[in-house]
Amino acid sequence: MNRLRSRGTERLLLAGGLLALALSMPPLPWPRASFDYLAVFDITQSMGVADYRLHDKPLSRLAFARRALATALTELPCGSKVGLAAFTGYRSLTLLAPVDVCDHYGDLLSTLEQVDDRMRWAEASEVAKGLYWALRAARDVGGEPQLLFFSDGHESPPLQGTVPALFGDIRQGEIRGMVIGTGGDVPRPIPKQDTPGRFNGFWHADEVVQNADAAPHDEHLSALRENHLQALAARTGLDYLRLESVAGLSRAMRSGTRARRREVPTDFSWVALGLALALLCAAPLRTLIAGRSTAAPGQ
Amino acid sequence: MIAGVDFLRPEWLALMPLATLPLWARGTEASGYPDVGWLPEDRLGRLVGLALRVLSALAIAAVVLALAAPGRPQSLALRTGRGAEVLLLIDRSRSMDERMLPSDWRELSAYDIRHQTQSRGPVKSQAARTLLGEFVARRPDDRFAVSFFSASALHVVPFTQHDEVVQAGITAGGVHRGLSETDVGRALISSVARFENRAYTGSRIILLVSDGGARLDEDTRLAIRAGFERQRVALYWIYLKGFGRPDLEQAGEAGEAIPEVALHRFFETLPTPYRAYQAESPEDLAAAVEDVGRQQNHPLDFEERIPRQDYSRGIIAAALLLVAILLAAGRWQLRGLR
Repeated sequence: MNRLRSRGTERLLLAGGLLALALSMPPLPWPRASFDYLAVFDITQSMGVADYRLHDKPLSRLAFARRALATALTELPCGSKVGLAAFTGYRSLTLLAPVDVCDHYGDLLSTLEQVDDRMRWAEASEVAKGLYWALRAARDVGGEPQLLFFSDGHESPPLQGTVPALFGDIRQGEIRGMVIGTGGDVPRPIPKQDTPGRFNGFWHADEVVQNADAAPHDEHLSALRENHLQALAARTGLDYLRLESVAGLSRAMRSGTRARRREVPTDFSWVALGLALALLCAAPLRTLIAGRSTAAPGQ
Repeated sequence: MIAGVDFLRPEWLALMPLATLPLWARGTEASGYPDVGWLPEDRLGRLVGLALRVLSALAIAAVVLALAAPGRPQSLALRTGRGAEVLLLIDRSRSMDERMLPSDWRELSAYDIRHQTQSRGPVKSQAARTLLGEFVARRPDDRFAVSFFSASALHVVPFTQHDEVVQAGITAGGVHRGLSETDVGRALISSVARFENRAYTGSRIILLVSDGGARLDEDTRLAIRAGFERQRVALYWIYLKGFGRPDLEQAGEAGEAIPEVALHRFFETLPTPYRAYQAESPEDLAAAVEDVGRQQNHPLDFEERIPRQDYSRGIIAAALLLVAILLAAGRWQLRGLR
């Protein structure tokens, strides 16, 4: 009897000790997977082609890419950081250095909403150079994010020959990330904007620079130029992903190979609490079981 | 009060039925004895036993609750403070990558100044970013938005109180060299429009940081003037005067031909407050930023974010107290039995 009692007292003491520990325990640094990205959006005119559909409504390439990223942001674990940049002309311009997706989701979203035609500071679309500038941006923005480069691969003026050489200051594979092919397979007319944000019909064949050697003069139409983007990805050492669904992007962004282990202050008081709970439940559980087994044969 | 409770780990609440265990487990005392039927009924003892079982049930419930981590969710409260809504409109043109006068320029000979400026003066855009970053960090009550401009306006950070995001916008402005063109007129028109549909909360400022001027056409002037009047926005221009660039206060008719002077004179005709700060060296720039900080300290209604408040600690403390009572009661009971 006394032994039973003193065991109970021991358990209570231990439970009390664990509760005190839970009360005084500071959050401990613990490695957790997180994902850091610099997302670069092509904001040239061909990205205005509405060859995506969402909820049965046509959506432009740029709008769909933004929507996909906005959704993917909600599925990244806290501690992940995302920054934003835009590409037009021949270069990418960093807009927002990476910030925490949980702490600043609202701000990230409203900045993302603003990445559109109205930002366009130049009218050309030299995708290869834009991508190389994006690599530089990912390298220099701080925090070593991976790159997400959303583009349809439509070069304007058209490229003569193959993919241009990488800039001298970037090594192939130095920056990791994905080139994300945005657009459909069917060439479609490009909405024309006289001033950014104001649409006025479509571009005609005689209004754009056509490819000198190629027979069909169809540079005024735009489809996803997947071969070109894949060649660019190979040249830069990035992976290629075709943007087909919101979920697909989110999955690719959370792939284990892209994770970065980062020590996040983590609350472990639940371990102490759980043990205390087990100890507190042990005594009544024991009597319940003991009561059953002694009562049963007596009846 | 009750309405505003959320749980960080609600799945633990599934263990709540464990709290009834002590209530089921009766007859602890009896089981050790072969026969207790002959003992007189101990009413007090029973009552104490029941009380102890209830206490341990409460202790278990408290620990389960603490595991679920209840708390009051993050909320917003309306507060009146001092501060302003400040839109930082920063020039991202190539010329901003040039250098300013070095700090000790007064000690240099006229011959050396140009050379020294080119070799070791601080880069304009970088000096401006550093100071603006510090300015933002020192003013937690203000709301900031960040926009850059070149040929178009690049609205980066919408009005926010999150210092970290504003800093991230300012930092982004320093990644790589600037763009080739500038259109300050277009930038001002679209910047002033960012105050549209926002409740007028006190004072509104556009803090223009640039190193060049422009002669604006009449349509642009009209649009800018109308925008500033409608939105009641004050304009502060920190003019980063490069070496050998014109002085804003250059007198005479000839001044009108100089873009910087023309822009300054146009700004002076705006119906809302306007101040110009001419900064040639980092010290001038720091003084200008300091002065802007002093100017705008009007009462401002804003919503303050009150972070989530966790209740678990209080509940753990309560559980601890219950365990302590149980321990004390156990000792007392033992003594009673002896």
